[in-house]
Amino acid sequence: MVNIKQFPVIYKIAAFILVLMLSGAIFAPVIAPYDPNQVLPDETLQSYSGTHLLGTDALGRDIFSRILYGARVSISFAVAAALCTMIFGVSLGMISGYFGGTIDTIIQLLVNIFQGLPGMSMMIAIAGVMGPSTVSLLLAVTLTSWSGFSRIVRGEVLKIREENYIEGVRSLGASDFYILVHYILPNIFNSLIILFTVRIGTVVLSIASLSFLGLGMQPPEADWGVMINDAKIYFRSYPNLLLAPGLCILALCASINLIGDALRDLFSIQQDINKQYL
Amino acid sequence: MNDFLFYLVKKILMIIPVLLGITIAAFILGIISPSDPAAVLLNMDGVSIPSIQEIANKRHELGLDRPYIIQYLSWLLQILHGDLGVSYITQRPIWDELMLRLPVTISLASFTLLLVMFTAIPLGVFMAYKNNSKSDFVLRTAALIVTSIPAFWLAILFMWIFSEELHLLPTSGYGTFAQMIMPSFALAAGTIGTLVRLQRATLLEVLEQHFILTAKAKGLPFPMIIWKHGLLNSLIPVITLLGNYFGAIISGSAVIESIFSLPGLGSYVLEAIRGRDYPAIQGYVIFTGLVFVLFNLLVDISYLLLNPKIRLGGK
Amino acid sequence: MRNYCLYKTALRLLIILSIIVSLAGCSHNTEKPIDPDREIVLAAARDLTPGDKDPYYTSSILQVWEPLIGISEDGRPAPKLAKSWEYSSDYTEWIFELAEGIKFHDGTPFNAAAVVKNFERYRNITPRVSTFYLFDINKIYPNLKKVEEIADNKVKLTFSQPFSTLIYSMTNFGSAMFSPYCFDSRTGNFSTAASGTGPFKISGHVAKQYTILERNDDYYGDKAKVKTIRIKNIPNAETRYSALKADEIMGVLDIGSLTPALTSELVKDSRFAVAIGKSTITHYLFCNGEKTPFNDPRMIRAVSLMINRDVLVKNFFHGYAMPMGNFLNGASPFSKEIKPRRNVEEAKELANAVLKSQRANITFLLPQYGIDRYPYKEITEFIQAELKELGLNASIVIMDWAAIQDARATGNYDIIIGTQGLPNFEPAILFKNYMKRTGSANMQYRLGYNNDEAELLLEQLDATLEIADRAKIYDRLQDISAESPPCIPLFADMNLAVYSKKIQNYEPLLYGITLDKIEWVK
Repeated sequence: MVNIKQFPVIYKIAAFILVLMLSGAIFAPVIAPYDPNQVLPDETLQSYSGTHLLGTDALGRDIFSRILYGARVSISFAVAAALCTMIFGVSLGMISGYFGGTIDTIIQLLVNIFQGLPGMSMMIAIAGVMGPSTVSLLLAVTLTSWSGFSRIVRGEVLKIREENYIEGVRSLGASDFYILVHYILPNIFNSLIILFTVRIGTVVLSIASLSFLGLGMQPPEADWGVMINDAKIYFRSYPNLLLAPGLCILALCASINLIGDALRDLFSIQQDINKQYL
Repeated sequence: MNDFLFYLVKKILMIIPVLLGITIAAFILGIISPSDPAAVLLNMDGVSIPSIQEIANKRHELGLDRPYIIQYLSWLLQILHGDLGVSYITQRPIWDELMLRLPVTISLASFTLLLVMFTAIPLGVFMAYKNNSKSDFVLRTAALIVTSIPAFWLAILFMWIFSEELHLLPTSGYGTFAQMIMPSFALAAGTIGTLVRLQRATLLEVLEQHFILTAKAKGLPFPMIIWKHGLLNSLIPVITLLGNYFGAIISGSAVIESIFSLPGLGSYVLEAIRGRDYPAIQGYVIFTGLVFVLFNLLVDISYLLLNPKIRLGGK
Repeated sequence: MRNYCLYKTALRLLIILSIIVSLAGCSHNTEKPIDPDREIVLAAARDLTPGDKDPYYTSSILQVWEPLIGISEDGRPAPKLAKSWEYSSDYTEWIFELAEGIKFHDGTPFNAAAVVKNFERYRNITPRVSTFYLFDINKIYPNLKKVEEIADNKVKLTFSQPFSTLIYSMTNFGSAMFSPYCFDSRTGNFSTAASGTGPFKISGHVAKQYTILERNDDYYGDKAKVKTIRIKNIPNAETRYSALKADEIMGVLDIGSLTPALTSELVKDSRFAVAIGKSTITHYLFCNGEKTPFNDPRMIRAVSLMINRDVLVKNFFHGYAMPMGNFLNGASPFSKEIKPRRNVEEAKELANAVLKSQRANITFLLPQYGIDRYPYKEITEFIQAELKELGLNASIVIMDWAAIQDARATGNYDIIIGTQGLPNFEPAILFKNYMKRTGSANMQYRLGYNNDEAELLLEQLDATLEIADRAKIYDRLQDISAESPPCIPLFADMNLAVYSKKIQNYEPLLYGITLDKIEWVK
């Protein structure tokens, strides 16, 4: 079996950071010293202090508490969005790439249409129909990004489809579905992992950009992306407003990406072991 | 050769239903969005409060009281005659407005794309070669950090450092090379980070494959192996990403354009959406849809050229 | 070896790039000789020159065109191109005496014939939308029957109904005068750059990027002090801030020139200053009076009594706004000062009486433009906390303006925070829109306002011609709106003329700034 102890230190650090954040998110109600939405008009824009570990924002809300609760919002939304995008994009991409022919044509048609639409238009329309909310945001983010995913997946599948061992297995009587699940999927798994981890990071960043345009999470939700956006007026004089959520986002994206790399390394080592038995 | 031609023709024919699909989708999005362009127009000054009758008159003037099918079909007919229509807000021909903004977006997209290609690909290759060494580590960390900062923040930071503090670069506007530097970097940074890691990963994978071993056994020098066999194969997912990315640039650079006052297509469609300027949105969609679809055609063709192992269209 | 070559080329590219960057930067760093005719660069959030299809071609702020009647700083009409006027006793005939010896930028003399041509244009372009003011001749000059030239410098306007407040109605954007040769007489579109009578001419314009103004050396009055002004279009507030700090621009102007937070940040730097002036914009809370809980006027009063306007102005507007208790903006000469009242106990009592100790869920809409231009996000979050104490659970929803208009039209909201500007310094239109049962704002914003005394007074208003008598009615209407507001006034906005100390005489006006007086500091 693979020896975990041989893993580079950096991966262990990444895992540790991730666990730290997750526990912060889960135990936020217990750890947080203040209500993240409690407005304290006399304590605005304070720096680090005994009463406020990371200072306060323009409404006097405790930044540390907002970071903890923000972890919940940011992480859960990002994972959910990345998952939805993956499920949609991967399944359609696999089907499209493997079967080819008319199905491929139709799905590619859809992909091109979705990619050609201005993402913002879609977001406003969805927000308009469903009312601006986390669910509509989720739907909007998924719909605007699944097409890119499916193209990448399709590209990978096209490469693998022509491998000799696929022919071999097919001649042994394996059904298309079996081949898809047991041969195609594992082979593209590595790229998928990396894409999934990148996706989580991208979603967190997208929310920040969307807040800039007014399409992000609704206030007073303590989302890290929103906090970063709010900090852009004050950061020159009150850098803690930016540093706290900024470093958190950095840490989250970076550690998730590293975990993805670690998994990739793990799987390729596994492949090497498998190859010995081929 | 015949196969190739057939593939090409099929791809070109596909453009039409895609464009149609995009316009129908954009039209539907316009319908279901909460809005009344007439009310938006009449209140544009932030002071006037139009009466119900005035709004109705305006709707009639803009043709918004016709059934949706008629609105869409008459617009389609107009397009087929080469007329993109007139913007609700500025009353100018949309074609003129798009042409005004196109050079800006093209400059931004080209600079960014060049930046991405000429930093990400060589760096990725370098990192794969120096796998697990110190420089690999440093570069990977840098790539990680750069993908973890929202683009608009990079833009603000750049502006703060290079314009406010150092007075090295102009903050905004369009016209000189210096004005394109910060926007391109801000747009390119995230993608460079992603691409670098993707390039490194896929190249490493390709290098593990058997045919590389064969080439090694044949005694070919390693760099030539990377160049001839490894690089070309590993470029496929990279090119796909670039294809997606180009589309994202065209439509998604609205934030960067807004920050750096670049009057490009991204901010155009943002304004049009805010003002519910349907003809402008539809015109934009057709225009960029066409560009995007043609670009993807190029990408698909380069797939074929890079890996003839992908058979055309069937098993 | 190949990849070392690759690496090396990459490195070389990067070095070359950085050299280019520093070279590009160097060109900005050379000290320019102090030349008093040097161009002054300013910036605004929007393109101040919409161009040929706009009713005015360019904003009045740019001082390219002048109106017959302008506005003085106390909000009263002041003579501009029309130096005096008289009217018949029944207010149906008005005669304007025009200032003499004035020429348009293209050399055409300004006279009664030109004025008549301009009024013909007004008819042709009615109604035309604009980002400045919607132009509708029937609203500005209702029942106008004839416009005639009775002497080379005298014009007579004849109305079929008495119109005593004509002077107020035609100020600024209501009577812009252009050379008849610069517009198409049939469509009213401009065929060349607008040719007005102002101290500046338009000498260059690139859409969405900048407008270049050049001093009109043949101006009949005090000539502008600076030779050229370039007004850049910089839509993003933080970028305008950076541009000021980087010495790229010397000042900002127009609505939302710089957000209050960025302004207070900027003036910490001794290189910059801000001159404050009155603005015609007021911030209000619009409540849906057609459904609970705001269909009970006591709830509206409760909210007005609860909100801590002083804290909001101090913390979020950084002092650059004024708490308002009066529905009518202070820029109008008819407005009086009414201080807003704050009484938390009274507010809670009223709220309790309406809600009967239950909590109510309401939607609080927040327009995107407010987040970009004003500290609306923080204010809304703060008010949300205050509403909680009244028993109202407000959920904030950010929407763009078009979506909010839609929500308003369908009644899908409870509170909206927004701005309303003064359409006219003579407040008849404003009061009618908001306080009459059939007023357009009242109906479309679903304010549900119903006040018998106001209704009566507003009907009286139509028959009251003398300005002094009208002023008395407005007085009473203001009192009524203070006790029972159609919408809750929060603050009066301020015109922030932010500038670099490298220039002087940068003062705010009711509209714009003193462009013709600014100059480089010697």
